[in-house]
Amino acid sequence: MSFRSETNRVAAVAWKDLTTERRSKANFNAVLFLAALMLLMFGFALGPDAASLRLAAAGIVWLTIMFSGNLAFHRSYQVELEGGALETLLLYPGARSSIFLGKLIANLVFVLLVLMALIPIAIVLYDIPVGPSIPLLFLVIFLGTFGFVTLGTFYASMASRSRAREVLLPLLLFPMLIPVLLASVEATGALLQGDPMGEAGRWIRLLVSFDVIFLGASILAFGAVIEE
Amino acid sequence: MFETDVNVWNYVIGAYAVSWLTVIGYTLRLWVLNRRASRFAAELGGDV
Amino acid sequence: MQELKALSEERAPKWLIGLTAIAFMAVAGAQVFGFITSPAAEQYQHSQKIMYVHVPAAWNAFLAFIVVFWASLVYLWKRSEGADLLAESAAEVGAVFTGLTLLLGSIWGKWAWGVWWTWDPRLTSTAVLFIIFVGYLALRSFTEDPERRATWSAGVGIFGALNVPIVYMSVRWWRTLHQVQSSPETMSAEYVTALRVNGIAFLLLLVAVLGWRYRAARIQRRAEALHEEAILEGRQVHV
Repeated sequence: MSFRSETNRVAAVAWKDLTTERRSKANFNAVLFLAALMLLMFGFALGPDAASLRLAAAGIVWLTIMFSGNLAFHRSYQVELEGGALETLLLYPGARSSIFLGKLIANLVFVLLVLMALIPIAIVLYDIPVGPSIPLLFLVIFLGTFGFVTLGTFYASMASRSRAREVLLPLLLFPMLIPVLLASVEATGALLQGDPMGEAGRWIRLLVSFDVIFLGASILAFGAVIEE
Repeated sequence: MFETDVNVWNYVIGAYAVSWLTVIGYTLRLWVLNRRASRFAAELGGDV
Repeated sequence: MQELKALSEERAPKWLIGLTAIAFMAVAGAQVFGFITSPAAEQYQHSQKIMYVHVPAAWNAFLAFIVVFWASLVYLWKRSEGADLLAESAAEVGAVFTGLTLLLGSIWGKWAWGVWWTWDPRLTSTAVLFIIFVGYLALRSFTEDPERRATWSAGVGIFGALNVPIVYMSVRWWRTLHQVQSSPETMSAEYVTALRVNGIAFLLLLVAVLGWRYRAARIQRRAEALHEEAILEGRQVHV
């Protein structure tokens, strides 16, 4: 298999998943609504003091996206499992990791779109001051989401095919995400205050290492884990 | 921060008690597991 | 069925029984040794004695998870049933010792710091390790197909072990940024011997419980396999 044909396979899987999603939109709307609702509930739980809400904002937004993104990963396999299409997909020639990468891209687009809709809501609700470091903030959001979606896509490939899948995925996924949560929240919080201690760079490096390690490990392990 | 000398023994004894309870409790579980496995094999072997 | 009958009547190996007895005596003896030889520490007074169970338990937990990591790799490499059973056994044993480590750390912390819990890097990373392997055991119990269970849990075991240093590093940075007390690092020489003796005794205990856990898992799995074989050959009806 050449590199080119593998890239085509990745694109095909991603496109297929995103098309299914675009046609129904039901899932996207539900996840986005749930996330917005959680932002509101956090506000009630921790508010109404504006200053303390603003301090907690970075943590709230990251937790919200992790919890609601959880729902998206099941869907990634659910539709195919119900139709028995996963077996067919596996029968096609080529590397198994292309299926993983395709699904990863689809999930990444999904979660990033949810975030793009969610962040303005959070800025308004929590009165977050957006400082001068917007490009870096986008980088942190992308890297954090990437790490979270990589592991989510990998673990969902197992959890969606087991009993008790609704409980199992967060049980497996969340403890693994603690470094991502810490790094993303700390980096976002620091950047929102203009990074006075110069600590954001270190967290960004941690995010990059996490993403690289687990992307590599997932690509290597996915072939073994997905086969019947 | 540091409490009195008398108090410290409560914590030490508590810690050793917890350790021994855990170790003995887990040993009991292992004993049950081994017995259950043997009995399982016997049951499966019984219905020839 | 002859094989199943033989399997059910299989006696535990003598070395395992002997090792278990020795391990228990060694742990008790090492603790007595620790109590006799070490004077009260200046700052920590006699709470220092807790170290003789806390630290060996932590070492055992760590070792058990190295075994899980290694056995998982071997399973994915060779697909051997033994490696899967070893990973299963070590994960459970490791979870028990991690739980014990956390309990003891908490008891000591209550005395030394006045709180049951603090977001100390080592305490927090240990807690994360504990949750990761509880998830591992949950995955195992929710998956019936043996091969699938073995492959999946091998993946989860490797990922979990890879994550441990990253968790530790991130929690440490997080803590230093927020500047709060950390746990004591230095230890005077008079306690080192007692700690080592206790460590070795706990190591024997680790090998013993691992051996028993492995034996139970092996008999269970072997019985299932023999039974399935008999059904397939029509020698036995499905129960």
